[in-house]
Amino acid sequence: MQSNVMNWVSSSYLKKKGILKKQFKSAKPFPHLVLNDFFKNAKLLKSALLKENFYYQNSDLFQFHQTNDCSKAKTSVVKDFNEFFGSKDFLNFISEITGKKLTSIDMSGFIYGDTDYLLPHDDRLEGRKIAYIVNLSENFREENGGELAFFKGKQVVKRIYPKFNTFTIFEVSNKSLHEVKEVIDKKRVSFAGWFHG
Amino acid sequence: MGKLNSGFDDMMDEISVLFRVRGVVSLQNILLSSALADVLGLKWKLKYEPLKFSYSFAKGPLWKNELGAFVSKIVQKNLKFKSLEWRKFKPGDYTLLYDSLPKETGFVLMIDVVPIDESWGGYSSFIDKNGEVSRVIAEKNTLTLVNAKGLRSFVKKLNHHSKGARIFLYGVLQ
Repeated sequence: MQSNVMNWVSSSYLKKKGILKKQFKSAKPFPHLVLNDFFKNAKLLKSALLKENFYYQNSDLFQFHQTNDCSKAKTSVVKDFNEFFGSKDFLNFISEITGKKLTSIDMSGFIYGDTDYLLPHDDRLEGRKIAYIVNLSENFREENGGELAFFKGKQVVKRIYPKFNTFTIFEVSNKSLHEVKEVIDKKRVSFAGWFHG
Repeated sequence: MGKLNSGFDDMMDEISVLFRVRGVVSLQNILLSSALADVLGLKWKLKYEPLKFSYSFAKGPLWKNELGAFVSKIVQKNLKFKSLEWRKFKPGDYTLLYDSLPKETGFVLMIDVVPIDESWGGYSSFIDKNGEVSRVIAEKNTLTLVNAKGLRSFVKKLNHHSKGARIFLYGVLQ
């Protein structure tokens, strides 16, 4: 697999960058996009990700299993996907949609099992411009939790439920307060990280 | 009339030594049944800042003088409460180690009313720069005293398996 946008992104999205740009900018409570059926080969990607080594992470803020950075992945599919994410083509594609100059990425794989979560935080750290989640979870219902929740002040005003092959991006700022709600009796599988600029 | 189990009075020297050596001590069956009954009538108020904490608190019966004297005997210093309140963590509640959270400057007292299984979360974790120093898991009617000077602490998010809320009296003495 090559690190070319055409090889990874569903072609329908490549034609509508203008619309996506408007949708991203106008989304509330802060700029974001949720793109369904975004990637080609999502099944293959998931099965490759599940072959990686995951390590238990547990702190005051979170509880989940995480891979090392995907640039060091064991499987060629995950390695290729990581390369594609950091490729000039894809960085330009996301830059055009978000209006942010982007120069690099980082990426890890995650599994949130039963009771796992990520409490509210805003992601702000030097260089992080756009956060992303590639959701590869299947057969989630609302009662299984695991949704990405966006805050406005102290209130959750938007919930993005885990759905297979959904690509979510949002702007990192002092407004980007978000959390991943506790997962109940399911496995939430994803890639996530940041576009840096 | 006192609210604390007087059975500990004769063991205070041993408790004091244990606390000095370990920096933490737990005493079961600390409250008399009349004190436990008082807890049922507490009126809770939510304390919620997403980036810092989510739990409820109540003022209720605090037995400040009796508790202050009891802890002073353990520590063998005349201590005063800097803060004291009841806290309730229901499933989903938590506290975080946010950037501006100061280090503790004194002794932390907790009196748990109901047991909470460690696998449900809800425990208090005391940390220093190298990681967790002490973990307090709620046990029924149990006082825990922690020498928390220089430490920071958080309450682990209570998960959906919990059969109830963690309810405890929380105070800091200096």
